Parts: sequence; structure tokens; C-alpha cells
Amino acid sequence: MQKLVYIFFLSGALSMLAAGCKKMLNVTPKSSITDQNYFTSEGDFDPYVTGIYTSMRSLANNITYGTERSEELIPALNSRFSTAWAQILSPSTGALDYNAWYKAIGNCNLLLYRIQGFSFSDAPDTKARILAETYSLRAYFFFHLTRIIGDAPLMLQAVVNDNVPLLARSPAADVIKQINSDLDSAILLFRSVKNFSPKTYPSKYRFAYGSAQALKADVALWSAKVVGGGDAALNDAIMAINEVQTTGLSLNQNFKNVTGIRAAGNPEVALAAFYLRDETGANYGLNALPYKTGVQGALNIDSLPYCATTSNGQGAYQISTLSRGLFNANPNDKRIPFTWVTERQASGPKISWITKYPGTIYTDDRVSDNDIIMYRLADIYLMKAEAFAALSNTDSAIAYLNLVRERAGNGDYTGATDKLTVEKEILDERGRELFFENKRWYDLVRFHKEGVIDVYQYVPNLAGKTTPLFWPLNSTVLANNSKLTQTDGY
Amino acid sequence: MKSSKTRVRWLLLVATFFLTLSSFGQTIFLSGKVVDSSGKALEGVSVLVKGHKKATATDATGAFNLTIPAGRATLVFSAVGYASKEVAITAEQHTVTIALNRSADAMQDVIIVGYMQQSRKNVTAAVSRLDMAEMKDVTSPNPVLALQGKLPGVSVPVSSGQPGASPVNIIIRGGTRLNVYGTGIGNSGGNAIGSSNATSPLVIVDGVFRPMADVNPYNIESLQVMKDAAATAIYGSQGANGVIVVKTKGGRYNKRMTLTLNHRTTWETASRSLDYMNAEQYLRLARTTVFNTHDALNKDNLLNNGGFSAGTRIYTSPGQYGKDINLTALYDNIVAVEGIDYVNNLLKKGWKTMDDPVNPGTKLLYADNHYQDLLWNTGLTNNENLSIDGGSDKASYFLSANYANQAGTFVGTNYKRYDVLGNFSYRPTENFKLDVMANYQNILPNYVAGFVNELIRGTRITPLIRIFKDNGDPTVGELWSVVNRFHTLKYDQTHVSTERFVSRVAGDWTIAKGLHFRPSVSYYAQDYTYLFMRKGTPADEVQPSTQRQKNENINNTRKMMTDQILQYDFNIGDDHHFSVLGGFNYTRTTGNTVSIGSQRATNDYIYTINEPPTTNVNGTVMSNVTDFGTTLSEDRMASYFGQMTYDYDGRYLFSSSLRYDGYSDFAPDNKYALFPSVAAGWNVAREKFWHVQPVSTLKLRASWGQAGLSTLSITDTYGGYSATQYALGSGILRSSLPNPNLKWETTETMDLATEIGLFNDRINLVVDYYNKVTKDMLASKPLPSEAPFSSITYNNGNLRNRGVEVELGAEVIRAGAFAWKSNFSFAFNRTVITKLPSNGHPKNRQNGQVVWDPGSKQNIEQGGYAEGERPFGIWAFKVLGVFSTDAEAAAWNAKIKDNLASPSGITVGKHAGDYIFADVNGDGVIDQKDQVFMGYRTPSILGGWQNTFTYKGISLRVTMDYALGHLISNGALARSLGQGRAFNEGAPKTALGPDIWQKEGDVGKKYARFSFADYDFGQRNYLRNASLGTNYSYSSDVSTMIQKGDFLAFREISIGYDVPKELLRRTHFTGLNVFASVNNLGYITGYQGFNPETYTGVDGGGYPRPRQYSLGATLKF
Repeated sequence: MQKLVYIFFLSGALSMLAAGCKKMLNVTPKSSITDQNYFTSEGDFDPYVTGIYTSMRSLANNITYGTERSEELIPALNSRFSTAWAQILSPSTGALDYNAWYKAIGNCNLLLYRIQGFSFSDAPDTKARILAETYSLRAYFFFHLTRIIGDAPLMLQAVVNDNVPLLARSPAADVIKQINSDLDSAILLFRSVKNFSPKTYPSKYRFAYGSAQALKADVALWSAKVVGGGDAALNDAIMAINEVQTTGLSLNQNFKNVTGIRAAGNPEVALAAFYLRDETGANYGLNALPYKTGVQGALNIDSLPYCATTSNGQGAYQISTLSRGLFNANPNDKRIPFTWVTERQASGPKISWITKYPGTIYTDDRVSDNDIIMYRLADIYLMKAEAFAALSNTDSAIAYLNLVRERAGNGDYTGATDKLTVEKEILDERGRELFFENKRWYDLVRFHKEGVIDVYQYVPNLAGKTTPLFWPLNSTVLANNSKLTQTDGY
Repeated sequence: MKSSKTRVRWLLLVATFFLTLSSFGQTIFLSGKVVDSSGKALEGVSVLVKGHKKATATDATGAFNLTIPAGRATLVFSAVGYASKEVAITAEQHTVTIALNRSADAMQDVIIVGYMQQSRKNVTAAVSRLDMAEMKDVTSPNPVLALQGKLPGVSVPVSSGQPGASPVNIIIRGGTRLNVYGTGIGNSGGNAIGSSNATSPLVIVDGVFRPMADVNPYNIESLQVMKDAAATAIYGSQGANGVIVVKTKGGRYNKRMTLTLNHRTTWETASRSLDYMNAEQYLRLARTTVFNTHDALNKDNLLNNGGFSAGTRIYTSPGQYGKDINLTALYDNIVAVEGIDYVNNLLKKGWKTMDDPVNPGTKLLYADNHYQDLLWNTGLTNNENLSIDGGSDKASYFLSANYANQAGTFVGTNYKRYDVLGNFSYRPTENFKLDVMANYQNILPNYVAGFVNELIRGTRITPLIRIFKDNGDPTVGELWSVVNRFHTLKYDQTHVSTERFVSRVAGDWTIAKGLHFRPSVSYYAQDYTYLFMRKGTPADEVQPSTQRQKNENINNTRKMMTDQILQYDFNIGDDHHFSVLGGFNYTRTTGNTVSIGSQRATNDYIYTINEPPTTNVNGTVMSNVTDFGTTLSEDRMASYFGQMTYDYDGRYLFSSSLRYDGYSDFAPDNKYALFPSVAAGWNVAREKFWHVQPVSTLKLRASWGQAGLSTLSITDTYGGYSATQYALGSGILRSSLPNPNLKWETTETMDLATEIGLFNDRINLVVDYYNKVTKDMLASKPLPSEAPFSSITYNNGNLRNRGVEVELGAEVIRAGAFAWKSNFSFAFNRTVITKLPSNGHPKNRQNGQVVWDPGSKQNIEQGGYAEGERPFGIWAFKVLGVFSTDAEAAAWNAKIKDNLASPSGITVGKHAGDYIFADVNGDGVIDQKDQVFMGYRTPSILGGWQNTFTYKGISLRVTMDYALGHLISNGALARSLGQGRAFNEGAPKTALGPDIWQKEGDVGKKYARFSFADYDFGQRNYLRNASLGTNYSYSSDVSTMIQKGDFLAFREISIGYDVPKELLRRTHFTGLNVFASVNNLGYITGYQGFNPETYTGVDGGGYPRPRQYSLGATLKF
């Protein structure tokens, strides 16, 4: 027994000795990645860029900013609109906390900061591609933001602890300048790789040479019309689109395939945000798809894109009469069935359900998981038409307009050729071609700023209101940075 | 007695394994009996020979036998609740009868303070001890519930009646965090949902750090709560939230074996609930409401196309109606499609008809699903305990086995536990003792898995939703996210099991007189397994998003802990008593989780994952994997500590402690921290000059000290990165910012107290005042929005909890055989933020919102956290009344715009029946600036009152507890009246009551009109998204929905009867006690919602606490 006692105490004493070691408290994390072990090898950068694309996807999926304030949507069975739709925006209603944008920008900044110490001597092309994609992404994030709030703080520094520089809003022109500088860097880097070909789209879901040029054209149009970039910017847009046209994109002959074929194999698409049910769940199309109990009894129920449950189809949006009206001139427009279908009940026509993003039918239900198209050739043609028209070159503008009209089965444009009429026609054509593709509000702002339309008369919910075109910043944003000022007009 | 021994011989065999019998030396044999002042035999009184190691305990008849050394000896008799007594025995004496006097309170008891034991008289720390009578009547298998209202300053917020469920937390003296009560509304899988950044107090059960919820209450011998730093500083980095020390029962040396059997049966019934309308009332109301409303609803779809449960549709083929989700139909249509016999048969089964209130002349066919009656049942609980204890002079043992099976009131919920505990003590030599504890548990609960979906939303469906199809199968319910409980019960199989093995070996080596070395090692192993299988559901039903889903989640935890303690007790002279202790503790915790999930199983027979990894669906190869991942975690802690106490003649008391703690998850420079404490006391009544007759005890004590909290993850210090996926490729993104400067959170507590005993301690009063300041609170600090994260874990300022606690115990009446003992507790606590990092805002406010301040007549920041303010206020939109007429509303519309109504509601404008919201700042717009302060979510006063009446063998207990000062938003009622975003929530009878606006001209009503989809289409009369509200979608931020939660709860009434010994003489029993009790009888409260015990500000509904009736008996052999 005595022996046992001694063994017991001896083991105790030993463990006390062991305790003397300071190492005792050093734990190597096995299931978490920390600053201690990430960005320690060249292989850590590629996954990081992949990660940043999730932010691109969520911004591309946010229709509060690109669509809700436009004329495109009205309620259907449910209501899922934010107050932006009602055009009721104030510092305390519908105001923006832009942290999600700066989170995305911050990830770009972090990558650009950490990559400095790595030479990639064995794979210089990899480094060029990572940098090019990261610059393109940062440009996209800033562009997305400046279209919402105009002047925006230019956060370009990697934040690595609680030390966050307090920045004032930079004028929108400076933001555009920074975006262009990032895009120019990206384009140069894309070109710098060995055996560069503009036709290379390694993935339609990530930035490549062609999509960076498409973004550049989009930025240039915005710059020209909203930020005072003038004719120089319009010419920049045309030049960038010339480059896009060398990348081998072609229009789908059948408009159904625009969203019907996944972006990876879609010849028309330059860039899309990847959606697949198993990876992401549903996209914004969820709110546009009807649910079964909402449409039961419809005579044409089989042609309605209904879901079995409201978790997959919320039945909240339908196409507005105004947007449908854009098609009145050509009732046989081939795009109509793939834009909307009107539910017919015994009592008469009812809701006009949007069919642009019909989702995928799985064994259990239809799920809205089409890729969200960010740039496609028809959009790019219309951008070029818009640039030419703004430069008063209406002939060239009509030529590009016709490329889009032709596929829709509407033949050549035969209307008046004065600048204003052609520009209005291009805006309408964008309304038809790109309906529910999350671009309409920015289109309206561009043409409003240029004087082609008065958005305060064009959008029904804006009528009689003076709500500014940019969003106000919410109190959280203003509270945490004393250098910020509220958006003009609020 | 002898024959009973024979009967339990097999048990003895088990026991003897642990027993080592040894013989006595040359001595005198003494037998005796111990009784109380009334002459009643006292069991379990310890009898000790002073100066020797000889000891025994009395049996059930109060008798003891002891061999004492020849010559003069002194015996010490002590028992819990009695004043101990020393009696000198002469050599000639062979029998003795001793009477012990009761001490009204536990003031004489031995108290565990840190790593030492002290007599209560000498303790200088704030320690509350639970009277063990309170544990006797725990109707729930969870002992935490028994603490409610019984210990001053200990808050036990129980929000769920789910069997086995625990409160979100135990909060001692306001806790050390901002959001201790959290924002959740219930729990899922037994775990709280909704965010609470509180951490539980450290719970030490028999020297092992472990959760308290599953400890078998029957095994608990003592439970005490340490509240001030004098008691918690010695636990250093884990002590800040207070410490609960639980000791389980052990055997006694030199005691004959006793076998105790205990059985309890409990019936649980649902207590508070919303009173819903029946089908007829609802159908009438729903149809007229939709028909008449100004809201831009799709009326035709709702009323005539089955758009909601009170809507009709045209059925075209037989069988359609019998499985449709809505029970409402057109009588003529069903007759035409299904035939008159079918309809007559339905009418026989309870279906009814009604003239359509909105289209007279049309006959509606409908039925009431009686869903509430089907869901809520009487739950039956059986609780069996068997224990054996006893001991020789060298060894003692306590063995217990417990089986608890608790069925909840909500159909299909259940909590089952098997528990085996062994406590063995072995004393081979005079100077060495070995204690071994082993505890095995297996917990098998059936919780409601989808708490929000199945309970909060799922139970509120209308009476017109079909629950069972014509063929008897359950329907899916309104939606998969508002699923029919009976569908879940039929198709979903969930097996949850927690196996826990806790063991500890501890030694006590008396190296020299007073010098002890006490090493111990404990090992805690917990394996949690969750198995889920969803069977294939009928093809004609709406399918779940993953079909034939299976999941297996495994979470294994291991905790190894060792203590090495050296203690020296010595005296200098007769009056200077010292105890000095030094020690070391090392703890290592590791965890491993595995979760996998699959879908598209091939059959319904195999519970485990058995699928091929892919399946070809419509020509595409699809992965069947739905979940896939493992994690490993580890943290370590190493500490050195010292503790000392000194007293001079029991009059002047002094104690101090010091702990040096190291924790692996802090950055290298901040890994260690020091936690000191000092305390002093003065037993005034022991002074010679003290001659105030009725005052038998007067003690003043004061303490100061620090304790910490180390709830950090390694990613808070070093930053985190997590995996994401894009376009089927693996990505990594930073998930949190690092803060390598993080240091320990320190809670500094000052405690001043007076303990008074009157009339020979028949009345005891303890009053504590404390001031507790938490410095460098670990919390998230908001960052500018231009940063990549909205916040960072930070040492974010200081928090102060200050309060007073009163504990009053008395033996109010002692008249012959009748006695009334009473215990009253009261605690007032005030939480205030005292310091925040400087950020340029007034009061350095964080997360504030700009609101109009009527006092200063300007917009100022309110809410969030601010220096000098109490956190967690409730703001709401103030209701001035309800528009009586459309004309009245139109006049208002012309002047004021309500920007917070739904977008389509803004277009429609206000009408009769809508709320008139106050435009507080008079700017003609209702917006977030018009929020007004209502009060606070958390109570400031908590307490309880326990009474025990005894008369001979009968004892009656009545306990109550109360809370004052908190507000609750009646979210459940608000959602039912406005239907939130839905069309299929049942309506409470309130919607037809006298308080609600129902028709043009109704004046002075409290509630706005009943409506559908108030949030989506309406005026947002009930749900407004206040930026300073509780920010919880199941709460309401409208002033009329917010009520005071003050309550007095009648927690328990129980009666027990000790069957007199004379009646048992002919049996084999040595004791029989029968008892009956009722728990959770009800409340006195003005609050009208489900649960006045809601301290989160949100009463969203959920699983109400049941009323429990129980009967049982304890039998001893």
C-alpha cells in the first residue's frame, strides 16, 4: 500500500515539474487558420482570390441598388420590396451601411499587401493573373459603390488590426480615376502572360481580359454621363468594347439560351456570378418565381415558372406594365416568352410572372439558381450603341442597336435618327433586352443625367418626389467615422 | 432487518468490493442515541472521538455504536443544521443519549472557500448555500431549475419548458458581460438560440469543472454559490462569473449499509398559452378582414383561389380536396366533385358548413383541425433512484443509480437519462486518505429540432390548415419551414445521445501534523452523437429540399485536469489559527467534431449513411453529400495559486488568495495574469464586551479581489481565415481581424457585509453590498464601416454591477411539534457601463442611433452602449391611439407621413383601425427618430421566499420567487394580430375582444385592427423594425405591445409525510416517506403574454414552462 501511495505522489510531483515548461501553453491550431500561418506560401493567394469572388457574387445578386428603384417591378402575391422601391430614402429609412463593399475591397487590399513579399519566380504568370483578377475585383467593388453613393472613401490600405484610418469621401471623379487605374493595371497584367490571347476566358465566372475591358467600358459610360468624363470617356468606352469584340464572344441565336445555358458554356457571356443550388442556394430570382398555391387554377399553369413551395418561389415580383409596354411596338418580339408570361385564370389575365431567370427544376422543386449574368455581348453592343449615340454618331449607334434587334426578330430600326430619339430607343432596347438583369436603375440614372429622360417622371414611384439618386449613409457609418458627410440632398 | 439484509445480499457483494474491513484495538464499547430537541431520532449525525480518527454516524433510529479508547474521551457530535456538541465520556459509561439543538440556518456549516474548508462563522467571503431541502423536491431532472429564486443574487432565467432544457445561463450578480440574457427566444437541441455573450459561472462538481444541467439532483449533498472575489479570485481566470460548487453524496465511515429507493411520478401540463379562435370564429374573421381591408392584398387570390387557409378554390378532380392543405372549401364544389356521400361522411366526422360571410348564399365547408389540442399533452415523467451507502472504519462508499424519463407537454419531446455515481473513500493509514469518484451518464433527449419552425411558427397555424389527409397520413403543413409536427414525428427519426464519463482520484497525505499534500487528477470525457434520418415522404407531397436526408454529427470533448495542493494548518499559541495553502493546476481541453450528411438514400431502413457518393439525376451526376467536415480544438491552462486564512480567537478573521493564470489562446505577451484577493472579518458578538442579549451573532466582513474571464478563441487574438466556395472551387477568406493586444478581462469585486443572528441564531440575516467592476471587458468594438470588418474583439471598456443582497432566515414558529421555517431573499442589482474606448462621441457611445430627445428638443444619439448608462433599454414607437374613422385617418394622412409602413402601405395610407403613431419630433414624418424610450429588458430586483411547515412527520413546503423591473415585448400576440409576413397564423381571441378596433366608429381601443401581412402590405401596426428595438423579428416595437414583466411565481407547493416508525415495525423498512407536489402553479403578474420570466425583452412564444404535479415515495432499508 505504501508503495502505491508513493507512486501516486511521485506522479503528482512529476507533473508539477513538467508544469515548469513554458511550452505547456503553446497550442498549434489544427482546425483554424490564423494570421500566424496564412499567407506564408505562394499557394495561399489563389484560394484567396477565389474567396473574394463570393463578394462579387453577393453584390451582383443585390437588386436593391440595381433594380428596385427602376420601373421594372411591381408587387405580385407577396411583397418583398425595400423602401428603395417606394423611393422613400432618408438617413433613417433605407440608408446604406456600406461595410459589405469595404469588406470586399479590404480583402483585395489585404491580398495586394501580402503578395508583395512573394516573387513567384517559378510561376510569374500565376502572380500576374492573381494580381490582374484582384485589381479587376477592386475596380468592380468601387464602381458598384460609387454608382450607389457617388463620392466614396478610397480605402486602399490593408487593415491588419484595429487601426483603421478615418477617410473622408473622395469625389466620384477621383473614385473613377482609381477604378480606371486598377483596370489599366489589370489589363496590362492580363496581357503580360506568356502566349497571351484575348480570346482566353479561363473561367466565365472570374475576371479575364475580355470582362475587364467590358467593365472598363461600363465605367467609361458612367464616367461620361454621370461624373463629367466627357467625350474622352465615351471614346474610352468604344475602345474598350473594340477589345471585347476581339475576344470571340457571339450572340446566342435563340434568346432562350441567354439565361438557359450556364455561363461556362454560353458564347454570349463575358462574366457571370456563379450560382448553383448546392453551393449557394437561390439568387434574387427567388422573389420572382410564383408558388403553387398562388397560381393554382391557372389555365396556363404549365407554362408558369412556379415552385412547389414559398421557400423556393416567393411570388413577390412581377414585371411592371411600364416594362411590358416597352414591347408594345413589336408584339412578336422573340424575347417576350423568356421575359414574362401572363397567368390566365378563368376570370381573366392575372399576374405577369418574370421568366428571365426560371431556375432549374430538381426532383423536389424548381430552384432559382441560374448564373447571374454581369456582362454579355448584347449588353456590350448596346453600350457601344449608347456611346456612339452620345457622340452624335447615330449611324454607328443604330448599327449596334440593330445587332440586338435582329436576334429579337424585330428587324432593323426604322425610326427617327436624331440623337435624342436614338438615345431614347437605346434606353428602351436595354429595358427589353436586359430586363431583370439588375442594370436598369443605373441605365436610368445615366440617361437621366444626360438629359434623355427625366427619371422623376419616368419612374412612377419617383413621381412627385425629390429623393436624390444616390443613397444616404446610415447612422452606423456616420457614427464610426467623423470625417464623413451625408450624401448630398439628405 | 436481518432478512432484508439477506434480500439485498447481491448488492452487498458489489459493495464489499470497495470495502476493507479492519478490526478494532483494545477498547471500550459504547452505544448511544442522538435525538433532536423534540426527542426525534436523528439520522446521519457524525460522531467523532476528539483527538483520534475514530468516527461513526447514527443510523435511521439515531443509534450509533463506537469503540473508544480506554480512559477518558471526548465525543464530538455534528450534523448539518444542528449546533455541534462535545460530550465527555467516562470510562464507566457504556450508553449515552445526546440531544442536539437546531441551528435555524446553515451558519454553523462547513463552507468550501476555494481550496479550503472553513466553518461558516469564520468565513469572510460572500457564499450562499442552498438548503438541501430545496433539492429534495426537484420535479425536473435538471437541478439548475431548483436554484430559481433561492439564492440571493443568483438569476436563473428559464425560458423554455422543453424537458431537460436549461436556462440560457446562470447569472450571478448581473454577470460580467453586456448581454447576459441574450436576445434569443428559446432553444434548439437543448441549446439556447439567439446570441448571448454571457458565459456561465464556473461549476465544480466534486472537484471537476463540468456542466451542472445533467447532474442528478438526488445525488447532490451540498451546493453553494461563491459570489465575491474573496471566494472566486482563487479560481482566477474562470472565476469572474461566480463559482458554483457542488458536492455529491459520499458514504460514511463506520456506518451500516443503507439501501434507499426513491420513486417519483410527475405529470406535466401546459400552463400559459394564447387563447386561439376556433375554426368558425377564425373563418368568419379572416374572410371579412381580407374582404374589407384597404391593404393592397391580392384579395381574389386569397379568398377564391385558396391563397390562405380561409380561402376557397375550385377542386376539379376527386381526391384533391382530401389532401389539400386548406380545410376550407365550397360545399357545392365538393359535393359535385366527390359526391354527397363523401361530404356527408365528412360532416359526420366533424366538418361543418357556414354561409360565406363575404358572399351570402354561398355555402362553405370547413373543419377545425384542433391542432393545439393535438400538440399539447400531459407529459409523464418517471424518476427512479437507488442508492447504497455505508462504510467501515477504513473505507466508505456511496453508490447510486438513476433513471429519469421525462416526457414534455409538446408531443414527441422527451428527456431520458441514465446516471451511475460511485463515491469511494479509502483510509488505509492514519495519515493517508484516497477518494475516488466515478460518474457515468447517458442522456437521450428528444428535443424539438426546429425550435422556430416547429414551435414558434408551426404551432401558430390557423384552425383551417389540414393536419391529416383523408388517408390518415399527416400533411407537410403549411410549408416545410412551418412544418406539421405530426409529419415530423412520422417521417423524421432523430437519435441524440450524450455519454459522459467523469472520474477523479484525489489523495490527502498528512505529512506532519497540520501539513497536508492533496494531489488530484480528473478526467472528463463527453461524447455527443446526433443521428438524423428523414424517410422518403409521399411523392404527391411537397418535397423537402434534400430528400431522404441523413446526418451524423459527433462532438467529443476531453478534459484532463490535475491539482497539486500543499496545505499547512497551524496555531501559534491558543488563539492564532493559520492555514496556508499553495498549489498548481493544469487543465487541457481537447475537442473533436465530425459532421457528415447525405441525401437521396435508397431506402428507409438504414439509419446511418449508406449512400453512394453520387447519384445520376436527370442525366446529371449530383453529389449526395450535404455536409462534410471535422474540427479539432485544444486549449490549455496552467495556474499557480496560494491561499491563506488567519483568525485570532475566532474574533478577527483575515484571508487572502493569489492566483497566477496562463491561457493558451492569448498572445505570447499577454498569456499570464495575476488575480489577488484579501478579506477581513470581525465576529463582534464573540467579543467580551458584547452583551446585547438577543444578538447571538454579529459579524462584519469586507473583501476585495479580482477574477477573470478567458472566453476567447484563438482567432480573436491571431485573426481567423475560413473556407468558402466559389464556382465549385475552394476559396479562403479572412473571417476576423486579429487583436494581438487582447488581455484578460478582470472583474474587481468589493463586498461589504453584515451577518446577524438573533435569539440563539433562530433568526439570521445577511446583508451584502457589492461593487463589481469588470475592466477590459472582452467584447466586440465597432469599427468604421470602411474597415474590412464591422467590429473587432477588443478590451472594450468597463462595466459595473452594484447591488444589495439580503438573505433572511428564521424559524418563525416553534411550538411543540409544529415548526415554521422561512427563508426570504432579495437582490437588487444595477448594471452600468462606466468606461468605453474614446471615440469622439458624447459618452463614447457605441452603436447608438439618432433619436429625438424631447427633453433637450434636439436629435441626440441614444441606445447602444454609452458611458454612465445602463445597457439594454427598449425603445418603441409610441401609440397615441387607434383611428376611429377613415375621416380621422385621412386628416392625419394630410399632415403626417408614416415612412415606416410597408412600401405598399405607404401608398395606401392610414385608415380606420390603424395605429396613430406619435410624431415625436413634429417633423411630419414618422421615422426612426420618433422612437421613444420605454424601459429596460432586464429585471433589477430578483428574489424568493421559501417556507417549510413541519408537524410531526408531516412537512409542507411553499416556495415563491419574484422579479421586478423588466419590460417584455409581447411579440407572439403582435404577430398573431398583424400576421407579420404571413397569411396563415391563427388568430387569438383578443382579435374579437373588447380591446381591439373592429369597426368604423370604435373608440379608445388598445389594439389596432386585425390584419394579414401587416409587415409586407400593411401599415406595420405591429412590427416596425425599430433601429433601437430588440432587433428580433419575433418581437414587437410598438408601445402598446410592451408591458411590465413584474411577477410573483408560485413555484412549488409540496407535502411530505414520514410514516411513523411504529407502523414500519412489521416491515423490512427503516424509513418511508411519501410526498406530493405541484410546481409552477402560476403567477401574479400584469403581463399577458406567455412567459413573464422573459429577460431578453422578447416573448416570442415557444415552449411554455409546464405545470408539474408529482407523487412519490422514498423507502429505506
